[in-house]
Amino acid sequence: MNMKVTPTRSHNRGVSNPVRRSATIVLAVLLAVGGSAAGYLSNASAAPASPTVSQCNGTDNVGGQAVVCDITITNNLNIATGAVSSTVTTNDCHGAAGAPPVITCTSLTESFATLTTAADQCNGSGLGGGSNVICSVTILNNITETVAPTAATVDQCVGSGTGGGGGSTLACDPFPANTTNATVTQCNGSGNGGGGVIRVQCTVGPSTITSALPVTVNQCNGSGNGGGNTVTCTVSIRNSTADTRLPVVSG
Amino acid sequence: MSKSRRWIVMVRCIGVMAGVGIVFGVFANPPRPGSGSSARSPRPTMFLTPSALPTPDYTQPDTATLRGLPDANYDAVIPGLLDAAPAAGLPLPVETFTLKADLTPLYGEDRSGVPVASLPFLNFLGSRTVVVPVVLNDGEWTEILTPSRRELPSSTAKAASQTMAWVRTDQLVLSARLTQHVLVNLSNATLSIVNTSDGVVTDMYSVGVGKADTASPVGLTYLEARYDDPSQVEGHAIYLTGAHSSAADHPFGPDQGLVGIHWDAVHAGAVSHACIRLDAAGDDAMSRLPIGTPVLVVE
Repeated sequence: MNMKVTPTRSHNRGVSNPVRRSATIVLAVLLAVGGSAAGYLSNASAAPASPTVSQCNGTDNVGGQAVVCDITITNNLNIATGAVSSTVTTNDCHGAAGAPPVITCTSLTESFATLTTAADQCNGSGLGGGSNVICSVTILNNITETVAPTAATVDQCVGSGTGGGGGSTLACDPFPANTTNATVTQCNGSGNGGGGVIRVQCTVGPSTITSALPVTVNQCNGSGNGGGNTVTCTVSIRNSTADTRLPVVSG
Repeated sequence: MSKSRRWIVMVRCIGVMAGVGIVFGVFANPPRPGSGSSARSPRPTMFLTPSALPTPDYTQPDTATLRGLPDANYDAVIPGLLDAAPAAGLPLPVETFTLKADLTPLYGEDRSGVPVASLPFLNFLGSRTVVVPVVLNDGEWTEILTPSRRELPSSTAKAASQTMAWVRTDQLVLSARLTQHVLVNLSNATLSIVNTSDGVVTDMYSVGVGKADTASPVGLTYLEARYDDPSQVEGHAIYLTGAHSSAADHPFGPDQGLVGIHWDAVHAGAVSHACIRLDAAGDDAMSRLPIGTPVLVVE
């Protein structure tokens, strides 16, 4: 039986690190300047810093199950005015493992008057044998002023794909990638139950990060550790300096 | 040649002729939506077209390859995309999809080769990219309409107005079921909202269409995005389709001959640079259609 976990967006109570501290400081300044009385749709209390969207953690651990989840975050930041907002779309799917899995999905889109700066999903999930863990995170940060993005750092596929089985078990890009306190931390300690080749496929697509709006992704860690399990996880983080030009139709 | 060998050759010839006849029949008599009385059959879930090749072994491109591909956006010209003209003769799409991941690779006819472009997870509005399938093949590949141009009208005698490409089916996530489509009749200068299942016209409006030298392109396209831009259309939305002018490179404005559907004070006759111009009632009707709605333009 599937254990469904409704996506939640909450304060990030994780261990503090420089990135999160920077986010906290930036957000505090922005909120003070903007005088924003921001609040969550689901939590009308004072606006928290570094809110996290979480889903699909510790689920589908019986065996023969699939957990297929994705998170899309669009952040909007106007550095000049301090105006911030975000939209979060979650797709939360569960069902029977297979190629492709037979799943049922729940989609949810919510808008917030704050930034959403962390995604946390698919950790400790798909631990029964023969399971599929397929998760993705896409973040688009629209920033109105010119900022200089740098490449996102990655920590992935460390201590994964062990436990027997022939051939190569990992297809990770980039690899090796083990930056401490990385922007993206995924697929570590996963796919260790043995089984087929290429059972851990994790990719960080072309991704950038800025000091103005730092974000983090934490997914697919400690997951898919039953025999014959597969773990497929992807991340993309883009920063746009607000190319607001719209298509001009032919009239 | 022995008698048995002649027999085998004759059987093969009959088979080839039958196949050619079936293909010719499909294209010579494509199903067309009528003015409200003709019924369309529901779109089959599995449909093979002559462009569908045997499925080759597939290897997912690495990040470096994906990063180097052109972005199949509304303002790109990508020769490797396919001409979607044959799609106008297929059953109309009844569902839309979004993408599972960013930089989804798009393939031309040779699906075993290098992808020709990629589609972003989010479109220019920051919304999830919606794609419309025209062929659901064998479960592994799906042919979708794409937003980019294939070639400029100045470079060829007949430029494709709408493009399409193959994508891995497992890269798609079902987004919405479609019940209606838009039918634009250029001869009558009308735009109709049609129930796809039975062909019943629920609304019909007089519209402005392209002038003789900047004709609105015929064929199947789709509602790619809806947005407000008062600098172009004040007080009403612009419904961007995936189609581009086949008559001129840039019939109006800086972009790739984008065909929009939008309100205009002059909304009757052959008046536009390719766009379909609506009155207020037509604009209201269009506003209720979901992104991905098929738009079929006929002579």
